[in-house]
Amino acid sequence: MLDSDEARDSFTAWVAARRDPLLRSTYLLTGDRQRAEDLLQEALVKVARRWGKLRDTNPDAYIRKVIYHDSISWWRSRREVPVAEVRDLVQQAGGAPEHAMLVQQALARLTAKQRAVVVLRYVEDLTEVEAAAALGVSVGTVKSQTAAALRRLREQAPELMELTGEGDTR
Amino acid sequence: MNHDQLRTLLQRSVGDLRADPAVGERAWRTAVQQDRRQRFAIVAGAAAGVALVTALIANPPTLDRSVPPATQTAVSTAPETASTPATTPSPSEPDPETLTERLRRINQPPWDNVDVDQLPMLDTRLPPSLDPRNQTASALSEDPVEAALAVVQMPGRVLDIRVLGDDRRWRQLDTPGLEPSFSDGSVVSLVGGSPISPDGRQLALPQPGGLAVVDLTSGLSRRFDIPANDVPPWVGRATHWSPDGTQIMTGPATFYTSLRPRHGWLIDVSSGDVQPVPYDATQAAFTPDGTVVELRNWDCGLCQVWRYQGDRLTERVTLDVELYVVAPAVRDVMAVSRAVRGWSGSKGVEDQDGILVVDPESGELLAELPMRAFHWAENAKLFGWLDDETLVFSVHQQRVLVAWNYQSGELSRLTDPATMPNFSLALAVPQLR
Repeated sequence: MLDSDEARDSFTAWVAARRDPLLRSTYLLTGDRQRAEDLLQEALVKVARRWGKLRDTNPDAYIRKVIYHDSISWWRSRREVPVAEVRDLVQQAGGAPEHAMLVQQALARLTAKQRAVVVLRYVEDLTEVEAAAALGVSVGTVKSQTAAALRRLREQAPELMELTGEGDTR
Repeated sequence: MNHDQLRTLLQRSVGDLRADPAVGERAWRTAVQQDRRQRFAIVAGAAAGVALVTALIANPPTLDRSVPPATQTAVSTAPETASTPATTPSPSEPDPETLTERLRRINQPPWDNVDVDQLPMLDTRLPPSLDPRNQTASALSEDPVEAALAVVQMPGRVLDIRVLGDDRRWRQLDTPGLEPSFSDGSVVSLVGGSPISPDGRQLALPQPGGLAVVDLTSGLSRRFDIPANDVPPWVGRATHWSPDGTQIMTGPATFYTSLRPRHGWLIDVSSGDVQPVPYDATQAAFTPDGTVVELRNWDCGLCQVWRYQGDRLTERVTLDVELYVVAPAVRDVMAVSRAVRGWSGSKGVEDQDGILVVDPESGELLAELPMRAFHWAENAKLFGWLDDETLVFSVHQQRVLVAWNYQSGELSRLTDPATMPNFSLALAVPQLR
């Protein structure tokens, strides 16, 4: 299967269509450009090895599961939070530096699962049912984690409210 | 903040971030290589199986059922440079009293670390506060230290490094020539791992293309280059000194090792020799006798300790614990931290997070400190062993240092909760007593 030029071409065409949004989601999950690229590359290798079965089904769903599962494994494995990086990291993110830094600092206050739910729901625009399937949890868990994440962001990241303009009206 | 506002904020923050256009081709090539390796391994394994069966038919073994199964595994094959299996000692029969004590320790009740400020203070050489802000700091070159107790990288300022001397006064590192080390634009934390030598007199800092070692008693530095072809730009997040202070283990801090060589480097501080080694420095630690143990997790739930002498893998021990343990701190016993919660979504795992102590020789679980409020961003960083029984670790993003006596179960704290956010801390644990 992996020796077929046709399979390689269809895989690379799929990657070309999906790589940028996948990298953006992965970056928001990890908070680190290098990690995000590593994670994406690793997930793409896993998809490539199963391309014969995945190409006619739903490779998006599969790679999403891989990325979200592996990103949380990475958070667990992390020895420390290299906090000194945040300011410099955001220069690589492509967004406005101050804005991106505040968002990353806010996301860092969420649990791994809350962060995953937020990215799935608000960056990838998945429904609660789709997000639950991607994470392998119940819809109820997605709802509760979403609510908990929003609550935590409101309580612990008031600077986000400033960005939305709500802070000015208080 | 409503859902639409959050969506807008998140999407704006990543702007027009784009992936490398070659990422698909690269992934395909890697998949092809992995596929070929797997097919080769299957063929080789089948051939080995046939050879084994043939040998057994020719020379049937005599079974001795008096020998108990051991959890320890001598290495028969090893990756890359590994060779020379070690002998496998037979596990001794535990006496009933020891077993009872161990069970009691393993069953230590969960600790809710939000109550950390309620813990009694343990008397060490550290001051109660490790916050250098508002503290006078002289230049290290003008006022060097006899030995350092701690090093702090100030929040948001990569090259602002403060050194706490054993006189409890702060100095600012002013060694000329130091540069921030970058990982594709991200700045590598300079005080990750265990960068202070055991005698507190030297500090290893990652530098572009290598490592700098600052003599804290003079402020002068030496540079150790790592061969250019081998240096990922993020080298040096994991840095450990050997117990005798003659060697430094360092390596890239990447979890996704299948895409890159799984190795680090061993630097001989006296000769300047830099030797590649086959283990992952982020998951490895020196033992008191100078050997290296590396923690390995597999997706199948297996957790093993691999032991190395130099660059040779000498034995593998399967641990009696589940997946998700990281960051070993080794003395005669090994401590690891574990964070299961946050992903599985299943109930009943709350008390599985925390710190475990295992016997690296047998793989046996000796003690466990379950921790509630064990959040990934506040993951306990293990700094090392204060003595044979007492482990030093931090909670709340390194803001509080805690000591746990795994024999008695007693908890105490070394510092008051810090108010300074987002700093990086390294300790010279052997100097704290």
